[in-house]
Amino acid sequence: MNTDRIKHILAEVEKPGRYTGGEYGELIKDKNAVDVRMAFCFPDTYEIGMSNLGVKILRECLNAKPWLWCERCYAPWDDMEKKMRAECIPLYALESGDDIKDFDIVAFTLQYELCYTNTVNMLNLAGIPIYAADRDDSHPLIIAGGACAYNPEPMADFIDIFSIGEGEYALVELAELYRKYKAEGKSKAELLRAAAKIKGMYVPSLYEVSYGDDGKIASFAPKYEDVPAVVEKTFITDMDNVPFPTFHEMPYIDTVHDRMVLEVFRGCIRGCRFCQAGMICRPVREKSPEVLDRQAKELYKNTGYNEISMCSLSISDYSRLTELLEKLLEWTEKEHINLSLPSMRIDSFYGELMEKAMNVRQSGLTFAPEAGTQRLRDVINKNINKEEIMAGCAAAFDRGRTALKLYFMNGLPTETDDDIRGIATLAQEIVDLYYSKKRAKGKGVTVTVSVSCFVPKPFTPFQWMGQDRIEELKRKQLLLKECITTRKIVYNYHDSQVSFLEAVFARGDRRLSAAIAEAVRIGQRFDSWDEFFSFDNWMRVFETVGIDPEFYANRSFDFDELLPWDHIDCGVSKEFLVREAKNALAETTTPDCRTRCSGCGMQNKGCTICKKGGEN
Amino acid sequence: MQAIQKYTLRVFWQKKGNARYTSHLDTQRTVTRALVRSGLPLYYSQGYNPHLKLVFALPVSLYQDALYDVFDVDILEKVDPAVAAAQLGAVMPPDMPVLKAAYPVKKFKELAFASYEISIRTALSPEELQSRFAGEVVVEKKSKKKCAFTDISPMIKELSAEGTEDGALIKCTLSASPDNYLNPKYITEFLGEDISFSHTVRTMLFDEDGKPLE
Repeated sequence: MNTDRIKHILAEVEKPGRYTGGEYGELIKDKNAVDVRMAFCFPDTYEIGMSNLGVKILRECLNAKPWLWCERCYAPWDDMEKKMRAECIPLYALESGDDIKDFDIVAFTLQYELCYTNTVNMLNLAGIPIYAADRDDSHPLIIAGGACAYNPEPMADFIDIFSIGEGEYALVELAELYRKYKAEGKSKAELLRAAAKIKGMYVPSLYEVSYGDDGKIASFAPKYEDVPAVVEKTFITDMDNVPFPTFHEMPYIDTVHDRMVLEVFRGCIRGCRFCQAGMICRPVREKSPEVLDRQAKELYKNTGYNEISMCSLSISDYSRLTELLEKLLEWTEKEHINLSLPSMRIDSFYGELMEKAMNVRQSGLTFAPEAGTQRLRDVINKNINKEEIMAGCAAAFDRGRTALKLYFMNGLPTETDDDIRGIATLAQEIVDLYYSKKRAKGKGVTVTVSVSCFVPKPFTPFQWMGQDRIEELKRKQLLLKECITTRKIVYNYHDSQVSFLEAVFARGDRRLSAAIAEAVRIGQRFDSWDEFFSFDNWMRVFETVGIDPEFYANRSFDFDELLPWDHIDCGVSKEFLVREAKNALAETTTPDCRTRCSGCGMQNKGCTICKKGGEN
Repeated sequence: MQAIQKYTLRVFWQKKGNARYTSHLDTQRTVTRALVRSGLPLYYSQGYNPHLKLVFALPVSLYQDALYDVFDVDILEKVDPAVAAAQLGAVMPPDMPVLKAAYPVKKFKELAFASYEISIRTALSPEELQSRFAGEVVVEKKSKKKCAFTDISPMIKELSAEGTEDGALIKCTLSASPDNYLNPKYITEFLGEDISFSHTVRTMLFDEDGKPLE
């Protein structure tokens, strides 16, 4: 883009490379030759947004249409925002430098609850009225998607249309509709009504909510007969043929994930009961090693990166992993390319090939037992036992690894102090295991225990369970600290206040829109950044708008309560989630999908795993 | 182990426009990736952590443009420089175009001077500006080790100024030898409060004979 207008500002802000565009691989179209101009906004910094694979995939699908140009836009850091506001420079897109407010469609990806303030702030910075009700036909259509859109309600007052599920084809369909309606001169109201009929599109303004005296939702229904009562998610069925970007912008500045990303498969066979991704991304759909190998080669040729990261929810569950690694290693080694295999399960086959594939320069490995005792691991359905954990660690130590990182959660449903102490015991046993083995002289071990706070998420078996109160989470964090007696164990834990806010919005309803608007008004943004998060400000916001945040975060919902997200169908059935919640309370595990189909509701919706032999 | 036959290729390029906001570290990474994309037969160091042998003659500071910049990269085959320049040029970012490639004539340590054009926003006339630089030019010069008031006038080979719409354009040639480098930022720093905005463009690198560094 032409940066003349902001040249003098760029000399005064941190990391000006965030705001200029012009990278290698940037897609420029003739703006006068396209019918629809779209801006894909990422409500966080350039470095984070540029690392997001989902946005790259969707922009690839959209830009494949010659009549559409989809540009990029990221949230400016507060130094830049202040200067832009001072000089009346509205939010702009990185390719053309044109103002976002003049675009046809402005899309936001909602990856994390704490980016809601950024989303609304970006609308404001663009000079677009934040409330959908305050916008008319002269304003862009504001749409949103991403993992958080599965409970769209807290953002319902700001967004015109939510895209639920995987948007590769659905977004293009929506853009086509927009193009047609624009050409025909139809109004936004007509467009919204028609869009609601596209599968996966949820238009919040077309639904009416009422609340009971107890504050719970009493009814939720469409305002018109032709608007669907339940919005079904969309998803891709043929992973090998879905567009995948192997040519994309190469950032000048360092980004969070500055490497090739190969999406190996979607979905997860495991069914951990706290995990939203594991539920909403069902069914499992794999790409073939041949396609992945070809895409990796193209990516390498087009980017020049020296690392390939394999993206999935659990890479060791890829059914053809050995085949894929063999194919990749054939050429990556001589091109000096490292492979990285994040999200490996501790009980997975950890053999020679995998060791060979992994970055030789890193000495550490990360596993996620999630809970310290077998009882609690059964409650969350982690399906890993102590022997498997110890065997995984032993294998890592035998191959010379000296640093292990273990992820846990605290505040899980049914958790007791014994479960907390169990985390320390387990970590200590792993340290002892290291010293019981023959090892290189003088080499010590570091076991890092990283503990996050459990946040109940929609569409998980734990969606009904209230979060522990902040004081209780803090007490448990300190209890664990007291139980750790060696310096071989490094203990980190998350800020429970941040997790509380996450829980409020994860399980919130549309009354929370008022809180988000008020928070933006008093200057809250970048809530996921320590520099900006302010618990006190948020508590003041909730007081101002008259909302009790504990009603959403800490209260356990009844199984028969109408949930704020009940009008969204994520594929997995509510019956299955109830069944799994009851299994959790009974400490009963459910095997993974390859071992036995658990009847989650995806059996007849394209799941290939249960068709392959699991009983149904 | 048998030594690997390698050649040093010199690439002449520019860093301008939006690329001026790219720090040296980021520039190195950007150029490295472009080199890999180019398909040139690159030489990698043979150690535990294989990397390219890539050396920049004189990186410009952040916010400065370079219309004449140079880096050397080691390759395994003696390729035609014109072909190499075309190959690399096709995959460099738009604001980092390749001018040409060649096999080095001079060493980087023979670099002696660099010329700059500094546009400034100021109320001072070109004559006033020139007279400021007539005698001693004392600035607070910072290095990693120390910070001292230094007269930089011996390091200014030439300096002239001409008027522009909102200020002036200073054209200067400054010492750029490895042991006596003068960053052009000291020219604007010396003018201090009298200027409000400046933009520096490095126009050329010269060897000891006063010829463009080849």
